[in-house]
Amino acid sequence: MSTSTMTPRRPGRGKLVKTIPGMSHSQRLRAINGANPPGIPMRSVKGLVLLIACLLVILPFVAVISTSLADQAQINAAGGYVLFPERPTLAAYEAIFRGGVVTRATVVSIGVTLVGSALSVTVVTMLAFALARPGTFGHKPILLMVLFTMLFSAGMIPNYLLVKQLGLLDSYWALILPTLVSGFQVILMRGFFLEVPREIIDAARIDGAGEIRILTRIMVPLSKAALAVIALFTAVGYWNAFFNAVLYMSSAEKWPLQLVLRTYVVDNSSIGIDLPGEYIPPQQSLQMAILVVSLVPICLVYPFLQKHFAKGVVLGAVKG
Amino acid sequence: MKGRSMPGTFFSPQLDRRTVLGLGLSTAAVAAGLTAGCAPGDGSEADGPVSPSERVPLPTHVVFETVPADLKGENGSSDAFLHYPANPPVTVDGVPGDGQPITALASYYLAAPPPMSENAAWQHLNQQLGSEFQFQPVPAADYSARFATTVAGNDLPTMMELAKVARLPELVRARFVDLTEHLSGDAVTRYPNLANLPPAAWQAGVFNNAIYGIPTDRGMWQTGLLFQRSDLIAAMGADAGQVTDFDDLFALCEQLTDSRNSVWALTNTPVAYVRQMLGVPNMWQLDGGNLTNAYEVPEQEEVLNACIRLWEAGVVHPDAFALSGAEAKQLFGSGRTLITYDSYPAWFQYHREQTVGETFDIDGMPLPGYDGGQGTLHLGRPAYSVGAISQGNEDRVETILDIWNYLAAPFGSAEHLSVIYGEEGVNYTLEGSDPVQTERGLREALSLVTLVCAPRVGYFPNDPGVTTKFFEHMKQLAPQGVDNPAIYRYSAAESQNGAELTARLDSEFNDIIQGRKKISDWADSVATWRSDGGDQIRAELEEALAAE
Repeated sequence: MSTSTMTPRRPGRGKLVKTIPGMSHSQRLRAINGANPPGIPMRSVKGLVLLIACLLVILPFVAVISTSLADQAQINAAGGYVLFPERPTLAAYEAIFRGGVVTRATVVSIGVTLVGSALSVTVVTMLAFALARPGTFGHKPILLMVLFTMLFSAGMIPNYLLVKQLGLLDSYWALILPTLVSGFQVILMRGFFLEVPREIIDAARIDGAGEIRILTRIMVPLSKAALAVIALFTAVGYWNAFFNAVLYMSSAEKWPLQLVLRTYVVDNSSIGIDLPGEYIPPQQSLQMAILVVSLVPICLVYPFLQKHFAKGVVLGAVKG
Repeated sequence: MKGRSMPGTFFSPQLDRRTVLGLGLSTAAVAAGLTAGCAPGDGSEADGPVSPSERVPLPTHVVFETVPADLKGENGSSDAFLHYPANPPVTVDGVPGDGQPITALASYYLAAPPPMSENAAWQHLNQQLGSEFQFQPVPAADYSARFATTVAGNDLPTMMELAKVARLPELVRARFVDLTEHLSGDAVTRYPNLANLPPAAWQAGVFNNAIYGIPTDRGMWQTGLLFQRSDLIAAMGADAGQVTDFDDLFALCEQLTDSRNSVWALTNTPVAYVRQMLGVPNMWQLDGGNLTNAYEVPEQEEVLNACIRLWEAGVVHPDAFALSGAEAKQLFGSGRTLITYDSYPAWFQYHREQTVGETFDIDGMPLPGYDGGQGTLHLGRPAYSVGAISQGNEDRVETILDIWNYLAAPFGSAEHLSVIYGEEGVNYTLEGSDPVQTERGLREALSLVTLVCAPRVGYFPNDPGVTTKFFEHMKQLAPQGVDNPAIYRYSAAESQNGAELTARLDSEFNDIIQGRKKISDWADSVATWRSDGGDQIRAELEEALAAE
C-alpha cells in the first residue's frame, strides 16, 4: 500500500500537492512547481538578466543623486551626469534650502498631498459605495456624470472660472478641490464594492447596521487593497501636480515643490541673476538636488503600499 | 483691491444660486470675451494697415547721457561698462507711488523669490516706489496658459506682460489702457527713463495704431551667434577667429572633432549660421512691395547641403537634434563641444556659471560669407516682451507710468541699483564702485526684465576683459546686421498659425539633414507651408507694408 503525504505547495498558502515518500529533491520540486527546476547555468543567466534590468532601473537614480552631490569640475569631466562623485558636496542642497523657497514648497506639497489624499479617498469611497448600492437616488444619472468626466474635460479656462467664482484663487483649496474626485477611481472602487457578497450586507442590516456602519465596518475593511491603490494614485497625483498652481496661485510662497522644481528643470532657472556675487553650485547639481527632494517622500511611502498596490490593480483590472 | 482675489474656502458663502448663474455667464463670456467681445468697438479691423500720415508717433527718443559708457556701441551694438559708475545719479524725483498697491504679472526665469515679508530687496523696492509692488511671477514655460486664464477671468493685475497669443490687437483694445496720449511723441519726456527706450523697441508696443505696450528693450541681445571655446581651441593649435568661409569652418570642425574622446566641434547643426553665411533673408525679404519668405529662397537647398555635409562628417554632437537648451549649454561649458549657437546673454552666463579653472574662455565667431566676404547677420527682435496697464486703472495711469519710469531706470543710476540689486549693505556691498551681491541678494533680487527693462549694457566686473571681448564682437558684427522687414507688422494668420507652420517646416528641414527625407522633398514642404497659411501670412504682411 503506497502512502502519500500532502506537501504544502508554498509555505503558508494552504494549497497542497501530492508527494510520495522517497522522492528525490528535484522530483519533489518538480511536483511542487510542475516543471523541472532550472539548472545552474539557466539560473545564472536569469540572475544576470535580472541584475541588468535592476541596474537599468537603479542607474538613473544613482546618476541623479550623484550629480546632485557633484561640483562643476566633476560635471564638466563627466560631460553632464556624474555616476561616482569623487568629492561629494552638499552645496546644492545647502543652496536650495538656504533661501526657504524649497523648504516652504516642500511643506506646501506635503500638506496638500496629505489633506487632498485623505479627502479624496473619503469622498471617492462614499460616492463609490453609493453608486454600488442599487436603488440609490439618482444612481444612473450620477454614474453617467462620473463616466462623462472620464471622457470629456471642461478645459482650462472654464475650470479657472469655476475656481475663481468659488473664491478659491490663491487658496490652497484650489490645489485640492479641482482634482478631489477622479472618475477612474470611483469606478475602480465601485467595482470592488460590487464584488462584496450581498449576503454580508444583508446580514449586517438584519443586525441593525445602518449605511454608514456598513460602509465603515464592513466595506472599507474588506477593501483595503483597493483603498491603498486609490490612496497611492491620489497621493502621487497631488504630489506631482503643478499646473493648477500655475493657474490659481498668485503668491509664489504658495507654490508646491513640483512647480519650484519645474522652474529649475524646464525653465533652467538659475538661483540668482547674471550678476557678480557669491559662488553658486552648478545648475545641473541644483536641478538634481531638487529632483531628489521631490522623489524622497514617494520613495518612502511606496514600499509600504506596494503589496496592496499590486493586488489592488489586478483586482481592479478584472472587476468592473 | 484691483486684480487680487481674496483666498476663499470650499464652503465659501459666495457659492449660491447667483454664483452658479454667474459661472454659466462667465463661461459664455470666455468664448465671447476673447473673440466677439474683443472685437473692435468701432467696427474697424483691428491693427489693419495705416498710412504714414495717420500712424501714431512713437515716443521721442531721449538718450540718457548723464553717465557715459566706458565703451560706446555703434550701429546698434550695446554700450558696455567695465565698472559700475561711481556716484550713480538719481533719475526720478521724489517717490513715484501713491501708497496704493500695484499688482504685476510677468513670466519669470529665475527660481521663485522669497515672499515679500521675508525679502529685504523687495521691501526696499516697495519703500523706494512708495507703493507695495505685488509682483506675481509665473514660470516662463507656463506663462501663456496663465495669461489666457487671467484674461478670461477678467481679473487683470495693474501691470501685465502681454503673452504672444492670437488676436492680440483685439485683446489689448478690450482689456488694456491706450497709453498714446501719455507716451506718444514728446509726451513721453515726462517719463525720462521710458524716453530712453529706443524707437525700434517701441514699435512692439503699438497695436491698433495706438501705444498700448511698453517694451522691454534688448537691442542686439537676442541676436544669435556662434560661440567658440577659445581656450580649448587655442590649446589644439587652431584659431576659430580666422574662419573666412564655409570650407574653413568645415575644416576647423574636422580638426576639432575627436569623437573617440567624446569631443565634437559643434553642439548643434548651425543652420541659422549657415543661412546667414549664404545671405538668406532674415525671415522675410522685401522687394518692390513683394515679400519672399526665407524658406522660399533657393539658397535653402545649399544650406541643406552644407548642414548634411557637417552632419555626415560626424562633427556635430550625435544628440544634437534631441538636446534641450540646458543640455546644449552644459556640453559647451564642459568642453564636450567647442562651438555652439546661442545669443548674446549667454556670453556672461557661461562666464558666471563656469567657475572651474582659470583658463575658461569663450569668444564669438566671425560671420563670413559662404564663399568668402561677409555674411548677413539676422538681427533679433529689439524688444523681448511688452508690458501693459489693465483697464480700470485709467485714473491712476500717470502714477503707474511714474512707477514704470522708476523701474526702467538705466544702468548707472541710483534707481537701477535698487531695482536690480536691492538694498546696499543687505543685498549687496560695494567693491570700489561695483556692487557685489551678498548671499541674501542672490536669493532675494527680483528679476523684472520680462516686464520692464532699460536698454541692456555689457557689464561683467568680475573680469572686465570679458566685457571688452563681448563689446568688440557685437560692435564688429553690428554693421552686418539686417532686420526682418516685416517685424512687428500684424498678420492675423501668423498670430494664429505662424508658430505651428514654422515648427513643422523646421522639423522637415531637420529630417532632411538627418537623412530621413531627401533634399528634393524640400520644395514640397515649402509648397505645403504656402498652402497651409504661408501665402495668407505673406498677403497680410504685404498689405500692412503697402500702406506705409
